[in-house]
Amino acid sequence: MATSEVPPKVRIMKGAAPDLSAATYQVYDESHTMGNALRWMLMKNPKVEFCGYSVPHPSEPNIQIRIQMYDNLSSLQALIKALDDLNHLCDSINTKYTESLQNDGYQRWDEKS
Amino acid sequence: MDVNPRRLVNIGAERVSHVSNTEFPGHYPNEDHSWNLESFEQNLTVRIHRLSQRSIEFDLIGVDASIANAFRRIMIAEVPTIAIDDVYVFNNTTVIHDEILAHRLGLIPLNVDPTQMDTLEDGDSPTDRNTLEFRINLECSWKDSKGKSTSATPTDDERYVNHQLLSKHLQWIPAGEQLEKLKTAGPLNGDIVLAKLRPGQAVEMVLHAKKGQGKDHAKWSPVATATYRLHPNIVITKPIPFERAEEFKKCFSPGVVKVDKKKRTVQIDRDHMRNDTVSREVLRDPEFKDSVELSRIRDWFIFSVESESAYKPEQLLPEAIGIMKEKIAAMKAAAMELLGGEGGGEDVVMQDET
Repeated sequence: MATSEVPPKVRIMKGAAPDLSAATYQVYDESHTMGNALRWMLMKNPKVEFCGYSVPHPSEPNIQIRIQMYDNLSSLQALIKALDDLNHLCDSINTKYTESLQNDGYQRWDEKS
Repeated sequence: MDVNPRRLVNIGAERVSHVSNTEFPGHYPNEDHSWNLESFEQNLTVRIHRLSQRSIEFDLIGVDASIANAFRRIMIAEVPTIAIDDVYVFNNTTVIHDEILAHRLGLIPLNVDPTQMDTLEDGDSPTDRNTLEFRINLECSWKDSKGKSTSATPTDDERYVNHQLLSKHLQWIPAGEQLEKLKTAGPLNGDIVLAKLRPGQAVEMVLHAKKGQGKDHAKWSPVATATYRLHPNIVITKPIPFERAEEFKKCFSPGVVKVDKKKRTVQIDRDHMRNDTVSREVLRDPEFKDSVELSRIRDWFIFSVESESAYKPEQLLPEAIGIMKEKIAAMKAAAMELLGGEGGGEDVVMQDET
């Protein structure tokens, strides 16, 4: 690379609809970890017509997320909603895990190293 | 425990079917599968199964594979730990090459809490906040007796002093506020053999340990394994002839099949069903193959996590969730910035592909 500047975290790729009802987002420094989780959450949105993600090249730290919306809605809004929902999901899993850790009578055992 | 057939991944003798989740809006007519936090929480179960000082097994029930996989991937590649990264070799006359020894040193798990340290960014210089210094200074020599007096075939311990370089020979040199903050720093296991020495051979090195992530090098991965498997589901659809009960039992993992000799019945033990490996051995028997249905439950993840770092095994999932939330926050901030730039009714300026 010519410049050592850090690319923007999220950018809209060429060819998006002017109203962003269909767009591909390139996310820097993310992988299948976020790509697949976000894809799933976006597909849970009934206003999303299509959502898919790809890792264009295994040695480049980018993913691309394609979102197409019904009714000319904004895909960017849908992306933000999906991120919020994922955040809530993380919170509720964390809460339940902590509860189980504190209250459940699970088996404790001694493991020799 | 009758499981909703929609949740099952069917396992046949030579094929696996119904692999993908179908619970999306629009897939089933007149059913709403859009995201709903309340119904998600109702469906969600997290249950710790067993815990030791080194490993944990817990069940995560009611989530999609993409979510379970995200946590697994983060535990392996993005939860930070401390590992030796720079090795300055002043003397090494052992038979182990410098590079090999440096690599081995990097792989030693250290007992340093990563939250107490900063990451050394490119271009930064090492400080007490981001670098730990260790020293090794070891020289092998003969024991005075040379082991002659003890036995005809003396062991290395009887013949030599310092004939092994072990992880416990790392000497921590605390700098600045490190002694107050960390109290101790060193290998989790002191008995890792790094090199073998003979009289006259010596090692002298300075080591710098830094904070990093498993995605840069596996030495920074906090786990030995972090895996999940789907909960098996075995259903007997036709009674098994009691005469062949023992043969039927042997098709499964120990404890999965219960044979009641008094009642002459063959049943599946619900509590031990999770131990089955779903080997499909039972489907090879012509008499059994139509009497049993094998499957796995698509949204029931049995996680098995082994910590090999300063983290306690039960801390790893909360750490992974925390990192997931950080990633979400970073992406959201960037998306909000794009949204702000979109205002004013103008078209979004699109960048060329690079």
